Amino acid sequence: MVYTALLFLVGYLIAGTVLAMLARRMGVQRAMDYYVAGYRLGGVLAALTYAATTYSAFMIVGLVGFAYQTGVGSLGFELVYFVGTMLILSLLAPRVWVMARQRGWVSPAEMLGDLYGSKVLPAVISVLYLVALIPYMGAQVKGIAEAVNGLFPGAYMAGILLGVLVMIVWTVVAGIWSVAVTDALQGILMITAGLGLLAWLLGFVESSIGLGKAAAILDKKGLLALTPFWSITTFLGFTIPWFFFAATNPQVVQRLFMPKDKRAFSAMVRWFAFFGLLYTVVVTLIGLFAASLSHSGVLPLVERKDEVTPMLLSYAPPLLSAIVFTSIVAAAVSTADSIALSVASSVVRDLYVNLNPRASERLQVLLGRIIVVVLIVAAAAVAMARIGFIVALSVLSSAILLSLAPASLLAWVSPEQAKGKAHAALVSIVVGGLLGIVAALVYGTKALATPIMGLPIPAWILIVSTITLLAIPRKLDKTM
Amino acid sequence: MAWWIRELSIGLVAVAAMYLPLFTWLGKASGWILYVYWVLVSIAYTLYALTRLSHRLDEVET
Repeated sequence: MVYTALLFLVGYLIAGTVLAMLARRMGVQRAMDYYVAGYRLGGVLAALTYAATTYSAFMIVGLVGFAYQTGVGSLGFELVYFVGTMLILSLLAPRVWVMARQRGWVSPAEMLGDLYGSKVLPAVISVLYLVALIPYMGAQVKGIAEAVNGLFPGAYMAGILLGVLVMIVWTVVAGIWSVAVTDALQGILMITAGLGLLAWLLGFVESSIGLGKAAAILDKKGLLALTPFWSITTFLGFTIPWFFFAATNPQVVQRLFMPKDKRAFSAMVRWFAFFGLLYTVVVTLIGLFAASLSHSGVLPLVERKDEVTPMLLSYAPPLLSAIVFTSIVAAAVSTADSIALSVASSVVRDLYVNLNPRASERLQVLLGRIIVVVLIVAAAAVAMARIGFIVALSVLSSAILLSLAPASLLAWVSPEQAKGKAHAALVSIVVGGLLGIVAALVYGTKALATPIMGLPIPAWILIVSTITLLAIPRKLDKTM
Repeated sequence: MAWWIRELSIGLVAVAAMYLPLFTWLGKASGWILYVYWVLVSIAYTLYALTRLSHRLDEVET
């Protein structure tokens, strides 16, 4: 299995690198080309890069483990994200797409700065991205390192180096173009691997205990109902940050700017919907049926959530294991390199160009490339620290970024209302962001499900940010 | 504006439906009922949202 996986991984890395090199033909001259593809992305490519960026290694590693241990509640948690995203994509995103090309936005922080009429706001948001998303990227690098370590025990560091190298090459070569084409490859691999693993697992279940008995075991263990893990507080704590993910995380907000026309935008949403729903169902079924085999004694019981998928891979046919293993690496790479590029665009546009408005387009691209490398190396440092497990780290980042939700939604719904509310938006984002950071420091990875006065911390971040935004009057904003 | 409020309300109803099992017998239902319920609500809202998308795109472009 080890050599099959290695061969498949090497083949995949070569294919991705060739695609990334070919993407240079799209001609990256300006910052707008490098970061948002000059608003020229086709529908299918836009959909696959949106899906591959959204769905990280968390799905096939973390969510499989969650379904295995906590049951069907994990499906509800992930589908609340999905429904929230569909609501944002169908109702608000079309306006964002139109405004982006009218106003020439490159970074999501630049978008908020423009809508609120503030130069300070995008700089502050850029710093918030750095604080929130380096751990998220670190979780992706950690996912790659653990996958490699599972295959070659003791090769954790080699896994980190591999992840760093691939992310840097695929991002630096042609910016969003190389990221988008490699994302497309990764998206196809992710769904293929998920379907393949589920098909094999269903066959295994049927031939060992039978599907009917498997369902009966899951029912008996309470995994088809809400288990005690999914208390109201925990469910709210996990779902609130993810519900607003499409409006708060820069790597996905930025993708709303990119489709080349109305048809491409529509195709992006349609194909993402198909991909997202199918992938979520597939991944949770894998976790549940794996649990049925463990509880019937066919497979060993796994204590740690993140070890369920590696356990399954040790029983799956070598070629299938190789494909799934590579898809884990692919999912982590596609999420992390997209974040690196998005955050780099914000650092360049909202910090550097803000202070140096005459910076040339060439310099903006060069700086972006340097910052991408710095961010990926910083993420590797986080991964080396081996903190927490993948799910909590990923969701914690979204909780910190949740402070952006009220300001983003207000500006998208009513740009007229946003004008003159820059101070309010600034205070709302800073207060909410600080609350998230303090909660992360005090409660660690348990911050999401820790109740304060009966409500989980993400709910408080949302409440505090919303009240601050609405309570501070508009007339204060003439000086920003 | 009325169109917008209607669409937002329908979206929020779908979201409320996703949280419903936390507060009702659905959360304790046996068999695959809860699984199928969540998937069906998601599919129903997705199909609805996709039918409204082109209308929304036309509206924001004008």
